[in-house]
Amino acid sequence: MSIIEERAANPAAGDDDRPIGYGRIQRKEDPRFVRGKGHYVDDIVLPGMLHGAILRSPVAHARIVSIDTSAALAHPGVVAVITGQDLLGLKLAWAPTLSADVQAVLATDKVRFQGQEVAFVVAEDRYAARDALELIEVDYDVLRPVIDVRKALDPDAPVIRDDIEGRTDNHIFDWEAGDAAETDAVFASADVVVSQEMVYPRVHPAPMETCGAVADYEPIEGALTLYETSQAPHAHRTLFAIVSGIPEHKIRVVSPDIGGGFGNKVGIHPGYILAVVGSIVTGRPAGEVDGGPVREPDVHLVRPRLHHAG
Amino acid sequence: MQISMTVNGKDITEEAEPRVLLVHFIRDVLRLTGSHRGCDTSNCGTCVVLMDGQSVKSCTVLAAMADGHSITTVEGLASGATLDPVQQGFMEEHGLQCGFCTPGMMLTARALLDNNPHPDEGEIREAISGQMCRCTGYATIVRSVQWAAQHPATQEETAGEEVTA
Repeated sequence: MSIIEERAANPAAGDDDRPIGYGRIQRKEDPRFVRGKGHYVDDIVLPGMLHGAILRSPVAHARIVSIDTSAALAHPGVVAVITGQDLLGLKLAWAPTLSADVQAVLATDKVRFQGQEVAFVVAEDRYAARDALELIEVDYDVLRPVIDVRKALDPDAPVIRDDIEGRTDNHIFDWEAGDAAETDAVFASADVVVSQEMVYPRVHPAPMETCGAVADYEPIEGALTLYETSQAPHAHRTLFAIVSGIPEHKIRVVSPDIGGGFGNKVGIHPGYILAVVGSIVTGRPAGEVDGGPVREPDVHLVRPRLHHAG
Repeated sequence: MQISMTVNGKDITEEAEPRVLLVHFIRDVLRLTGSHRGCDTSNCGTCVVLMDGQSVKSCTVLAAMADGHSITTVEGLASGATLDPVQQGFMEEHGLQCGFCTPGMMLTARALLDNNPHPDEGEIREAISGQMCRCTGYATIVRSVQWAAQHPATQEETAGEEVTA
């Protein structure tokens, strides 16, 4: 319920037809939030809940030779250690993205950016999970990275997305809009043409609440309840059904209070899927709260031109 | 190890590993989830609590270091049903949207006003300079603290109220 407080009488408006915005409306969330009674994903505790932690790649481009999880598994409190090879067996290693591509949930053959998810530890508490990350031994065969998007199409540039069949370069998408011939004609007749390279820096929305998820898979009913920092719970439910094979009507996605999003919480981060995998594998609720992935900078090459009408 | 402290006026004693951070102790052991965790690296300030009346980032304090001290979290700001003027100010001046940074911001404001009841805008901005908010752009947070400075609680409102953790 909103509390409406009148600032001043408005003689033009009757009691029943006050225009929207007239008066002052208290936000319905504020009384909870100022008392510390928000309900964010990291506040959720379920009976028997386990905690997850993600091992991330320290290098931008490398082939994974081997991963030794035995010491991590032996660490007190650790319940499971999951790698990309385990996910391949479960057919959960790759997930579709909102831009019609695929992304690795955990790296299988190689890592393709610094910070990529490599292994997932599930443990009784968050400290044990973090401890175990340091006990995982990954043997990386480090490859040449592509760290400048302007050099990504050089003939000798290493191919990053060789997971896509037939890919021989780093040309990853085409985009076209408008009428090219007409546009060229306008530029050809312009009095002044200015060419400029504009660098669009790396942009990643950074809300104060990091991304996270708590997954609760109930094996007898085959039903999944997923609490996550999501700005798009309905789209996520559909994608989780596609990835996991769990029918959509048996998936319930709960977005509690969100500590800011700014678009960052529209997509599905691998950690969300890992929380689900952790719950399926262990038979217990599993949570993961961590930062989102690191993105390479984008560079946009544009040619703004001035058309002098005189 | 055994850790004892006063939290929101209540004496508590709990078991925790020596390495446990105060923010995890408050959130996971005491289950006071109003103090948030946004970075773990002392950058964001969503975990700010008061330790003996001074604002500290609870992700950068070990629970063991708070042994014997008095901690105030956002849950201890109000006196029963009566909000602290800082809480009222944040509601009056739209000092919050998503609410994630709000507890830390309000506790820093409380500590500021306790030491300096009439801060100017520069002093308010300096006080909250170690904390981040992505929603408001800070202007309304400054106005919220100014509102609280202009509406101090009277003794009758705060005296004798039971404070619960």
